[in-house]
Amino acid sequence: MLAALRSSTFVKAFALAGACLAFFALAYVFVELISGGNWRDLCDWDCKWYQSIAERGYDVDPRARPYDLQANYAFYPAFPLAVSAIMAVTPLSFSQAGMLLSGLFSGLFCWLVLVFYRELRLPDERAAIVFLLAFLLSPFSLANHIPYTEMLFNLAALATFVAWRREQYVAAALCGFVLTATRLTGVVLPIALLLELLIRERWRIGPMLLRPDARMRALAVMPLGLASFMVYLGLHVGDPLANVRVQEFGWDHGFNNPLLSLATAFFANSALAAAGAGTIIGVTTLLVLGIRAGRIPIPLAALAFFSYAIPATSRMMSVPRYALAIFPVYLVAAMLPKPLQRVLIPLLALLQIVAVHLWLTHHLVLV
Amino acid sequence: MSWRTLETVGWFALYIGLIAFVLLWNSAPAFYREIFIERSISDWVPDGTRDYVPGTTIAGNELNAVFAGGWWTPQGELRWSKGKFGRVLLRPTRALPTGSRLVATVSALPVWFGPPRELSIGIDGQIVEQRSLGPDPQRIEVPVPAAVAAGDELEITFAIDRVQTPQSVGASDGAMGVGVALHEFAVLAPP
Repeated sequence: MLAALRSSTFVKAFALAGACLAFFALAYVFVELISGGNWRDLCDWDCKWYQSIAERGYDVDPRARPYDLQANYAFYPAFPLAVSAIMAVTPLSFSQAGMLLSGLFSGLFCWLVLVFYRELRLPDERAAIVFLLAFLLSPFSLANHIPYTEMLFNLAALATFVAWRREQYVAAALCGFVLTATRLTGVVLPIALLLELLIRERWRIGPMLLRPDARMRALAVMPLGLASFMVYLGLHVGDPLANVRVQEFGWDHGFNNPLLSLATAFFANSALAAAGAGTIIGVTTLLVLGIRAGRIPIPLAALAFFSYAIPATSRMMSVPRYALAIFPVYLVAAMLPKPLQRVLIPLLALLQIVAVHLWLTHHLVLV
Repeated sequence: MSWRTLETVGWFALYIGLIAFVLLWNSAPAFYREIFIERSISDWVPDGTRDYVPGTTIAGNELNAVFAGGWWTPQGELRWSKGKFGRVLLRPTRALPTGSRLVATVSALPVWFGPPRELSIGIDGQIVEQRSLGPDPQRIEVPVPAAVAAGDELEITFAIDRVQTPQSVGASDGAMGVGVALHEFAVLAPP
């Protein structure tokens, strides 16, 4: 482990993550300078909810303010708990600690990709770097640089998958636990890995269940992150499903017919709905192409797909972020011809500057 | 039975226990249960009362305990029913004699295809009004079918024949099902 940390790959990974973060910081400075230099706080929208969890813990009652039934237990605990741990041992504010953690998670993500790129079906280190640049410089990766759950979710998903593929099942179980405690959709990865295992070894499902091995044990542990949160809510709020209910009542995130939701989005006189529907079709197409070309592992494609498909059943707002701040779709960047890669990455970086501007002006497309 | 088989039994027991806990555990306060689980109250107004002074106009966007189950939280100047039905429950502080009237302003989403929406209004289980409803607010005045004693509960139901989503008619990106839009209402005693 220590040798790995000292290796040049580790330095390279953090240099790469640091360069992407520096670009994001420069984009922020540039946008602020051309728009009057107000130096607005990057902690906005859901970030405020994470901050409330980190600073005062979970609510018991929904906020008693007009026109909403919102409460911070709509948000999962792993990220705000990690930030509050940093805040407890340093003098950093929530925003500072959150940014620091997201940067650290970016570095670890890059390191995992550069060391284990073959598990992601990337042919060589160059392809790994192309994938990382496309992912971290993309406009919606803004959510990976600010105090949002995205980077932890990406890191936990990647670490779970890599550990699983390398048959390090204790690590896979622990990372999967964190993944399912980070977001509801994290539970898709253990389900996808279970289905993959059951299909591959379908002739011995009975013996596998009767005499569970390390794989089954790891898969059984992974959803316990989500289960722990539900038990906590049961004891704290009195309702284990409080998270789902407050999402429906406070944010209109109920579950509707997904096909109807997608079909009607095209007829809606709403740029947000059109952006969400267009993103769903575009990203789903890329995921399918990536699977067919053998470049995106199916469990990761399933995780990416359900990360936006489940929220899309209620409304299209936030769908672009759910779809484009999650890493698997960017694996297709490494498939592209080199001249196209040289165009794509600067283009994505330019769009990230636009995204920073939209974020600072509270544009709903980035929510 | 081997230890590993017992382990499988243990995992199954754990997950069945967790599912049972999630589905059956309920130690939330009564008010929380009424809002989130039973859905018999729509607004978080813990000190709210269903007592109603006859003649008072209640706006659809007002947070009020009289909005029983079936309503979304207010949006702008009104509130939408969550599906086909939105209920109002109130307890008049004075008796409502025969000849009292319900006055309400309601609307619905526009319809792109097919017949217009059909609104029904029920009071204490009796349908007192049926009419077509479109996006333009309509003021409706209907009689309360029977006298109501002070302190008795009066139930008003606003129902519509079909649920739509704002997204489906280009009103917004919302994909939640909505029915009737209630702008305001009042129950008036005869002069």
